[in-house]
Amino acid sequence: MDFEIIDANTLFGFDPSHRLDLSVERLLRDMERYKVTSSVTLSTMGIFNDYQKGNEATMAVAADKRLIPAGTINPQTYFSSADEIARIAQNFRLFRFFPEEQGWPIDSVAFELVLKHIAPFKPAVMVDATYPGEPSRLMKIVRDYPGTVVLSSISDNTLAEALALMLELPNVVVETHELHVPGALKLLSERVGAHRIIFGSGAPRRSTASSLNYVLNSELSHAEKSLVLGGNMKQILEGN
Amino acid sequence: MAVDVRVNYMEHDLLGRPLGREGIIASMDKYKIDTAILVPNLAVTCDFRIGNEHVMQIIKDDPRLYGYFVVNPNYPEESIEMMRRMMSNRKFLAMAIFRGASLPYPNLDDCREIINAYRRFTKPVFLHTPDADSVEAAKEIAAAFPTLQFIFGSMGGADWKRALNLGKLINVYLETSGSFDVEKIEEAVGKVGAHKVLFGSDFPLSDPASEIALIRASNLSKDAMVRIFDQNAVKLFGLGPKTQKE
Repeated sequence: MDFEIIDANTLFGFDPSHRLDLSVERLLRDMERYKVTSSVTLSTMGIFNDYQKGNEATMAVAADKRLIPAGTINPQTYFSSADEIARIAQNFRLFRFFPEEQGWPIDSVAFELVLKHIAPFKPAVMVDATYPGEPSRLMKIVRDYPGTVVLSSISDNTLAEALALMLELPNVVVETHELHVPGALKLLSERVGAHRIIFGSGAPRRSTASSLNYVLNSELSHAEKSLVLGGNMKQILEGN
Repeated sequence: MAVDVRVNYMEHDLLGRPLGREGIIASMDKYKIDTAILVPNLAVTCDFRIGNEHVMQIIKDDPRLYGYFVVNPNYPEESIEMMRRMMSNRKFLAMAIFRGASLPYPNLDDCREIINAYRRFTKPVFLHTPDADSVEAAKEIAAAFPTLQFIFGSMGGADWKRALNLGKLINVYLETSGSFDVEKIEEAVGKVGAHKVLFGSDFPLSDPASEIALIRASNLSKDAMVRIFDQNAVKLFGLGPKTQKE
């Protein structure tokens, strides 16, 4: 089965908590091994240290057209003006946010302000919603956001909340890297449509093989798998 | 052949769909798993007495299914009484402990009496270790009972590296479900040896597709794969032809 695979969730750089090769070369090797056409990626520097330096590092590796840059902004260190955010926002079709790893609450007012500032550019935003309660608390924050909102890190204990949020807000989609619940993809496709599921692996920290095999072995039709594995992300990146 | 050492027996899956024996067998067939060892979910989450009895009814006549006998350290006398009555049945391959009494995870203070009573059965003990604290507590248990074999279920979850530092403990096996960190299986094999790693899917809480792919994508020898998917469990639980016939 040949699919155009776009991995919506990868990163590169240095991992302070695991002794692990997160180099761009490793990421590209993984992509070749699993026939991933392109990956949305960002530098770990933007997560753990300085988002501005991280965004620069991300843009630098995106010279390789297989790598699609994702921007990030840490709301805890966000003091920029709307003008400054315009300069950053024009480089990225997707922004990622990491409340757990950066230690801020998902319903932070500072996060709300960041979203307000990037909203005129309508990039997609991907937010880690790891713990029970977080998808619910996110609803207030993203209700009026004009672009696509991607819920990441959804797992067995947040799936019902994520589904409820998706039923409430049509611009919310879910990314799959923490999703390993049997039958969850079929359930989501039946309730909200396969066009609202996007494949992500968390590579090279997490196993591409596991995430990919989960989708390939699901009860989704070939056409639905094609959407999940790449078609949907392509649409999002094109701003549709 | 593959042996899945961790399948949860539930009447419904996480999505509320009927599961039971038929659902488990269907999943085993899909992923070419010959044998599964069932954790009675009811025994873990609520009533260990009914849960164990129920799973025995499910496994007793099925040559592909075996079970864990789950005890509850909040009920040591009842656990021991039931253990003495049921544990000699060959369909129960091991005792499993998922919680403590004073702590949320199995620990020596809470489990000593039960494990002491269990030693006569000379079967392994499954300890639920979903995080670093539970791994440390499980190590203490394993050190206190060197003649028993222990399985660290979920091998520490996201804190799996903690489960690899076993020091002088040679009576510990690691069950693979939990995190999907790309280097987990290779590092586990490098640290504790392929002969100490057991394939467990945690179905239906997790899809076997993910766990199988994690192991198969690891840079392991074919021999190591066979050990993890099959031979280690066969040897540890005595899953020879004799056991399977019964």
